[in-house]
Amino acid sequence: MIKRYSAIMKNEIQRQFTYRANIVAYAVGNIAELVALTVIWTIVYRSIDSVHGYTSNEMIGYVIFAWFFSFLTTTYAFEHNIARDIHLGTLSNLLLKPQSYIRYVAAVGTARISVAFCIVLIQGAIVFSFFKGSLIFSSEVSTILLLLTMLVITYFINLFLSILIGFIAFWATEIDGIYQSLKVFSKFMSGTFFPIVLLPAFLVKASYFLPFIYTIYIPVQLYLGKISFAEGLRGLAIEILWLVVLYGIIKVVWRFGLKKYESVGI
Amino acid sequence: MKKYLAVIKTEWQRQMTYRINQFTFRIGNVFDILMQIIVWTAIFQSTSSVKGYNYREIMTYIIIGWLLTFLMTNFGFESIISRHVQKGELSNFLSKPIDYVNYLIFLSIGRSSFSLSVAFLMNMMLLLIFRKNFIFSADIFMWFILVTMVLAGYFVKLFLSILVGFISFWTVDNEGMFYSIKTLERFLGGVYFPLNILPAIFLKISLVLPFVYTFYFPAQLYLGKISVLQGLLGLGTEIAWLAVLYFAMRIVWKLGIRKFESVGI
Repeated sequence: MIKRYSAIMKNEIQRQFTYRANIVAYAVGNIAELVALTVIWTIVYRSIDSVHGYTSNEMIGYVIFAWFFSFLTTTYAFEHNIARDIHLGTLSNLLLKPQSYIRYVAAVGTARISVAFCIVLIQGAIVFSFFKGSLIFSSEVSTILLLLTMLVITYFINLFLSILIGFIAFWATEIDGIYQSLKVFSKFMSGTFFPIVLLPAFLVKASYFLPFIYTIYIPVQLYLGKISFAEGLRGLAIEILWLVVLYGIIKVVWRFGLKKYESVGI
Repeated sequence: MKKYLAVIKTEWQRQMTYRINQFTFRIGNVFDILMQIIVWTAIFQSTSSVKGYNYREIMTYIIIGWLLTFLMTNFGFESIISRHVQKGELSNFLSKPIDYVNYLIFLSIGRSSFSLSVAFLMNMMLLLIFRKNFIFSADIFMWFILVTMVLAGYFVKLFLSILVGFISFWTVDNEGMFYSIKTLERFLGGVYFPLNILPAIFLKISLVLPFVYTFYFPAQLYLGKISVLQGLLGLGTEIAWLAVLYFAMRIVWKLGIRKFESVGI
């Protein structure tokens, strides 16, 4: 079974190399997003010392690591691939093969980001060396291990959400609007652009009941030493819980979706 | 002319079919705006002015800026051109007695006028909620320049999108480039923050580029931070860009069509 899915992944990685220029092109926009954030905070901290308990260095550290983590774990609009399989009827081909479609897309999705992942790593290294004067680097092995585990789960949460949104294509012909809005909403509630504590208190409270906060905000806080190791572990536990819940939802929605599937387009 | 009006009409009907999709897009936009409002609100809790902007001015900058953006946006039009070229659908248009570039312009007008009304309504609601922190302006001359600027800005953005879309004649996978160009446009347009908080040289450079006239410049004009006279000068620059982009579009179209292989048909 491993062999079968590793072949799928190998194919997809080869496909990614074909479009390598496209992947590199993403890097320019990535950096512009980060520059915008660091500029705002640098200017703001000229006239004040702290925003909601964040000093200048902490805030810059926050936005840089949040940026880095979010681009390491993004699925790059994978929902479109799933929607395409459903809309164009390609799904029928995949159903005929002795494989699980969900495992198949998980393998493709993961292989799909591999090249972009390496580019983000290089980009991150450049950004870190540029800001090395003001960044706080943690070197505690246990914290780093916990952080890495959290980020792996973050990736799978993002992947599962992508698959779920892609499945909407069973019922709707246009998923772009939902995709776009959920993306903005998850960035908003996960603390990708700013620490979640800047939000009004009721939204901060609400955010603990959604999966997003555990994907970016908690890992960054852990790395910056703003929350304890024990709190980090608790965050990881809730994150895993969400992962399981999302997996369950995927299975259910898949079953319903397949009943609705009409193999249009084949 | 009549045939192009038909293009607008059919596009309206198409948009009506996907009205829920329209609505869901706008929800994301609201969060985009809220994100900025929240960040600046948090900042202004510990200070009363950032680089000469007070709280009301920055709120007005964000709200008016986004409102103007929605009036000028073409909602990712480059992807439509990209699809036409890559799936060979372009061949259909080439065999019809219409000019493809003109067709695109009218298609976009039909396409955005519908979304525009939804976006406009949602922004008005936002404006109503934040009315206490919004500065209203009644300067007739300013409004006149502003409206002309928005109109020209719509076509500047559209021509840019068409030009970017034409890249598909030469490349296959474009999403990365589209994303990066869009982010850069936003950055240089002052969407993320007022450009004058940067060192003066950046503003000077961006005043020569077209992007600034789609967000930063009109918002500043509205706030009275730019005089009506300077506004006129900006409008002149914008219209000059419009002409340049139009010719660039025509030239690239001519070159692109030579390269077009009608793949996918």
